[in-house]
Amino acid sequence: MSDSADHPLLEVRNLVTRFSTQEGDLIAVDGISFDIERGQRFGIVGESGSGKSATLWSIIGLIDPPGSVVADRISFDGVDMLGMSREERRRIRGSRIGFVMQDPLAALSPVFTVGEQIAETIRCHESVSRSEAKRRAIEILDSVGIPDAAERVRTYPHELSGGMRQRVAIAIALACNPALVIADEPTTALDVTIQAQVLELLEELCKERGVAVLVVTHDLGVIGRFADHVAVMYAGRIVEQGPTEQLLRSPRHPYTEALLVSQPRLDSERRAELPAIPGAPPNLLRRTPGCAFQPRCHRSNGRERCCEDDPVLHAVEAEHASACHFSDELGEIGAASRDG
Amino acid sequence: MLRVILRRLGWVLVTLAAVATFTFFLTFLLPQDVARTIAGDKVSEAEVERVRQELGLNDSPAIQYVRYMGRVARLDFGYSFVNRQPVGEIIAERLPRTISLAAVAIIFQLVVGIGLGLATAARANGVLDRTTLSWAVLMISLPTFWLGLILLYVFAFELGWFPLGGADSFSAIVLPAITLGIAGAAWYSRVVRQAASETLASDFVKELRAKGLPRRTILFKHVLRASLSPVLTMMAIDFGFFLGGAVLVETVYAWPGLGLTSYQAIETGDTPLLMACVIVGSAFVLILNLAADLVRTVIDPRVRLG
Repeated sequence: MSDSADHPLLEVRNLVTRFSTQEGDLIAVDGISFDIERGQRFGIVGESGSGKSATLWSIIGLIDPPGSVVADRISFDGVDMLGMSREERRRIRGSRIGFVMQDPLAALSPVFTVGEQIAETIRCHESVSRSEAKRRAIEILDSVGIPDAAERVRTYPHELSGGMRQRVAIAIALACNPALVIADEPTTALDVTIQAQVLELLEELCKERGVAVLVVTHDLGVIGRFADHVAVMYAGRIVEQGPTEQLLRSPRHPYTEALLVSQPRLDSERRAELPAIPGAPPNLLRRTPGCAFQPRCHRSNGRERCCEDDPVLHAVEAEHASACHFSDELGEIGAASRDG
Repeated sequence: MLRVILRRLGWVLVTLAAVATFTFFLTFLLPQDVARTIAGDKVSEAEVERVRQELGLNDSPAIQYVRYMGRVARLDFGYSFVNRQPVGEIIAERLPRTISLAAVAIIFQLVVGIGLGLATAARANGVLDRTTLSWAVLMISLPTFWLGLILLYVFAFELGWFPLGGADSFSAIVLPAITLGIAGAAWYSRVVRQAASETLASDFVKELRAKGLPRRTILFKHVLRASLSPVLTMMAIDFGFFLGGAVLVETVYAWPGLGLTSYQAIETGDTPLLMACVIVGSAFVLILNLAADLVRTVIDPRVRLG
């Protein structure tokens, strides 16, 4: 909306999302901050329950009670979103910020044609005629690589394959030419062969249109293939953040390292057991002092500082930050992990 | 599709024949001497015997049955025992009354039920939701004839807003329609609320919100459509029952439809008329059941007619 480009497209400062439960407040997102630049592809990676999806829903203002969101700042294109009315936020959703959900079968209405579902998105944000909205629906469906788009607008979601449905979901997200597309596990529900196609499509379309993408996934493969910049979340916090290539090559947080090592690799021995991260994520209702990852960390070795001091995110290199007290001990992935 | 419909229609006929058969033999259990009723109290036994002969009541039930079914197959329902009028004519005269009452009751039921259902789902556990719940339980449990009498007393007798009965004025339909439809309205409001709450919590409503649809579009377009399927099925079945004749309501309000007619037919032992009422009523129930299934395939494209 604003002409100057000196502020990032999306600015998140100290976002806290909590859900009040009978056992007390569950802090799903615990004070995270990040920026997304125009046209950037930003990834958030983490296990289930790390707060990555809650982050997305918080940004677009769709956390319902008993959940609540506070932040120092969430601004989109220089405009503060926290101060907006419900109606103002609604107008941004779907038009300036597109959203792609995890499971397109569940996310699309079963009783309306895909054409109608694209067209209604256009019509609720722009004053265009029914026929114009339909024409644009066909156009966008065609651009996400659906053959015979003019025919396919009349089909229902259940008549399409999983990959095709996700293409429809992407078409809906892009229908109003957004500046940012948010994708929540966009490939998780798809077959592996289709995953690559969908990612490629998303990348291509967003490059072409200069759209920034915020993708959330538990799959480092998706991050490696897709994102320029990545934030690793653990227990509601960002524990490491940096340019994708650098972060994957030389992780500076034991959690990232452990995630990388637990990925299957082609060059590892077939029979070798895949190392898994021992233990389970911490209880978000009862935070203990010290580093949240400490009980599962293979580098802590019971060092006092890990159990007592809450580590903060600090720069380890330009643009690369880690929230580990001993980030200096980590470096090029290899020595410690690959021979194990 | 057409083949499926034809097959289903075939089953409708089979079911109707079964209903007719069952009802036919059931009428033999009526404790009346029909011939005596028709001939009157003051005539001789010989006269009564003559009537019996004339109506074929002396033949064995099997022969009577075959004769009757043969005529019904040609849509000939015979003559009323009581006033000798062709039963077809009586039905044709009474049916429009029943249709209009059933239609108004169904519309009332749908509008109130769906409206309340959506409103309470949108504000779950709000004041309206909680009051509607107790109202619904009350309305579903109240006997229709009792509610009918109360409404009649308050709004027709005391307040004089509506006529005391009959079908002579336009406003006469209001009380019977409400009495007939209110239990359904209460029931529908709970069904719609349930379906709508489930839909509201589903992923696709999240997606609708994420793509920025206004709340009212989400509610009145998507949630309504998704919650309609169970109600439409129920509605078609209810409509069938109402068309079959709402015996209690029509009797309380002296509404001259099929329900009142069957009540009178039972009272007077008018077997041909009673049989016709039962067969016509069953036909409505069966055909509207089929219609309900057809409607569902339109409402929800995932449903196929089996």
